[in-house]
Amino acid sequence: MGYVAVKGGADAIAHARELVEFYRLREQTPPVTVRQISSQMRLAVDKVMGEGGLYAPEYAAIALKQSEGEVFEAAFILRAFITTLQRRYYSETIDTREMFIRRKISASFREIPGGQVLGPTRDYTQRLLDTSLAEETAETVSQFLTKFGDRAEKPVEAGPYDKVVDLLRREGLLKPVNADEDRALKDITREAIRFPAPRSARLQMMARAETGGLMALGYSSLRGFGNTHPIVGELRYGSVPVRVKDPTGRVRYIGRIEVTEAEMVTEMPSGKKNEVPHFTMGYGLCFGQNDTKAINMGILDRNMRSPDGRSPATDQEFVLYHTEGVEGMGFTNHLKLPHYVSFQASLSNVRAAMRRADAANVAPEVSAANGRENAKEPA
Amino acid sequence: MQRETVYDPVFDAQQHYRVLLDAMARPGKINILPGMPLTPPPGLSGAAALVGFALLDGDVSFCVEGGDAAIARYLAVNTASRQEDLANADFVFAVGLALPAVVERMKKGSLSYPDEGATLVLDVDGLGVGQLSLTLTGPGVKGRKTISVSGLSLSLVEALQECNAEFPLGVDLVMTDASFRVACIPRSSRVQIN
Amino acid sequence: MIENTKYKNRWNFAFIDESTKKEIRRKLLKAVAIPGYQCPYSSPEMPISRGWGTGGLHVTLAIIGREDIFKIIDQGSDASVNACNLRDFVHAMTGCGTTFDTRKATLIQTRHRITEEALTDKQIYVLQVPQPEPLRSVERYEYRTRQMHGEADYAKMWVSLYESYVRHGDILLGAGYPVRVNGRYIMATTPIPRWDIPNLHQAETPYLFGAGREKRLYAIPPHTTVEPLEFEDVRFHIEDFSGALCYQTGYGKAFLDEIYGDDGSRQWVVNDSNFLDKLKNGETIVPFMNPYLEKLPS
Repeated sequence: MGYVAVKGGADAIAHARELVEFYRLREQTPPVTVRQISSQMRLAVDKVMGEGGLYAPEYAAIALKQSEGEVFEAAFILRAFITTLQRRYYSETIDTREMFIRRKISASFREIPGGQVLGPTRDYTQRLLDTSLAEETAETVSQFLTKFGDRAEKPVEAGPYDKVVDLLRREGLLKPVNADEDRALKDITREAIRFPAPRSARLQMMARAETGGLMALGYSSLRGFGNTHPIVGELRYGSVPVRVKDPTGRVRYIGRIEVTEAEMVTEMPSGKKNEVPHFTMGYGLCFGQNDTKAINMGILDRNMRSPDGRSPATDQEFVLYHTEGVEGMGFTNHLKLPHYVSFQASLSNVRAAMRRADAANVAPEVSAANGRENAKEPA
Repeated sequence: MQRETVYDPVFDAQQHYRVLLDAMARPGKINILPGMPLTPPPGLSGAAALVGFALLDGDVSFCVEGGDAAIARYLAVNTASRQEDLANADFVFAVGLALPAVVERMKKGSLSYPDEGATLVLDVDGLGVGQLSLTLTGPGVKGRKTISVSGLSLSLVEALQECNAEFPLGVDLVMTDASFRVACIPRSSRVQIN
Repeated sequence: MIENTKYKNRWNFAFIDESTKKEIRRKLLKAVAIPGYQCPYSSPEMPISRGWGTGGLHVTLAIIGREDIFKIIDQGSDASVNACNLRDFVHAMTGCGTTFDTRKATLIQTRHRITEEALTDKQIYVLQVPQPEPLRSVERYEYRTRQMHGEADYAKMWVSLYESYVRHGDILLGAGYPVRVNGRYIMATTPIPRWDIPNLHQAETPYLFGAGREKRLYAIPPHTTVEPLEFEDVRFHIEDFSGALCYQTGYGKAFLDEIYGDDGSRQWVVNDSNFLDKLKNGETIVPFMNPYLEKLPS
């Protein structure tokens, strides 16, 4: 039996749609509220927003609910949703120095201006499966919150404190990779990317790329398949103000979004004689709290600015095309679609080749070899 | 300057585009855009206005050859498109008797991106009438297609021939007249002046 | 009474916003003006997976009108599951009429086949494209293939065809055979079988190609020269069904599907589902005619 892709197609897909919905609901458990997802599955929501490319926690939560928790599918739903929205403005440049900091760490210096703020992180927890969560109740939640009290520090304004990169820059240690790098500002959602791509296009593509894909390539560059082993200059998570210019030209504040920002620092050996070595930066920024994505963006940003011709992590086309999650998921899964016409075309060719070999009455490899030798014979 | 309220940006744009697409795919074929009570400023035909409405928006630029401010404002108000100089505009609006320099200075695209070559929207006196007779061959034309035009200068056609001789670089021509007729000559056409 | 519209879905006609439709329309005009050239476009996301027909949909939805009658096929079949899904989507977004009948349709979208019945100058044919770059198998980098097309430098392609011949005694390319359009651009035909390639040449209908994932649009206007790549002494040929006939109709001059029964026995059947239906019902058919089909034994 199996799936016959011909008649009855309309019925088949109608049934499949109903069936998948049945799978989501059949145990008749109390419906998960969108609010529960956005508050208790915060990091999944952040990932979906980051890969969908739309800052809308509530819609991201709905998408996760709709897709039964499948993050690729949820990001895809969100991405498709963007197409229905009207574009009204481009925001003014966001300065992360205006961030209300929730987390701020540096691996480059032991102490940094404003101090190291661990913030909400599982980095230093032990990954022991906590089975007590199976028995969590509204009461236990209440007890925890009462005990915790109001100890959550209000997010600190970053303003007064220098960034680590400011310190390096002031000393003349931080230089751009390439003084004449293409600084054109593109919008990759409005036009197809062209190669070689300007840095703005590369960063945009990575900002909504799939975390796992970026991670695989970032990881590869740390293991010898790249040319850089950076350290975290500064990693921040917090909320930044968003402003737009209204039609009269006045700048207006419209709200805040949460982002994770990574500034990765690497040593840049000097290219030329008598040129002093210095440090350069790889930059990463994404929606919500997602250390992995921001750090790997920074690693790859740095790598792509110094292509070495052999490492995938330094190859713009390789990195940008293949970390695009929605496209990757779509195309790899499209192999499930019927391909029997193309297959029939291949069958036709291969059978003809076999017939030719039989007609020549020798094994196929030998007759092909004969063909090559004949081609080489002088006229 | 008023926005045209009779124009439906969804359904009129779609319908008119199909007429244009057919005209560009069949060089020299004279199609008719549905007439509508538009009030473009003098110097711009209703058909040329409809071509503008169908294709222009904030993502592309246009230039009105000769610099007529009323026409430029009309197009900007109705499409939110922005003005550019002749050498950089995506769409150029001119009349059939314009100087050949118009074509010479328009952008022709690059070998890697020939689609960046501009589109010339030319208002002529009449399509299908007149003494200037052009015979077209090439993609979209079965055999040969002859079209008569009045109010189109010979030197402009020669400039177009020269410009498009370096295919795929070139510009694409949309001709409109006062009776809502439209015909196209894409850069892929070989044009012979009879 | 205040209506809560926050969670109500409302879609623009044909789903895509007007600004994007305009961009696609402008690019299509350029694609038609430069036959075979791959025009980059923004390719916004659709509610359909990338690789499952978003490019074809972009073209269809940018040009479709209320009066159009829409047909969509996948591997030659109207009832194929993905065709059904896309048909539902287009219908839901436009309210236009749909049909399985090739002659009644005004706008046809397809995945990997051209219809057996001839297309007319009143129709537009839209093809879904998985890989728009015909040179991708010989050159992996986009910036290089773009240069190659710009300079008409197709040496690598010709060499790979020659090598295929030397190794296998024939150019072992199956579906998606590359062609030269208007004597200038080498173009990817999408995985249509060789059988369909000759129907691109000097056709009555314009062919529009949409590659959504790769973000390219291209076109073949009607009455355009489309030549499959071949050598003087190694010519292009269509699939050889060696006299196999459709077991349901006895027809042999159409592309056939090979099907296997539960007992492992093999039969052939006409691939184009609407063509098959018409043959079975004894309806009038108007098949394509081309020199390769004419050479087949009657």
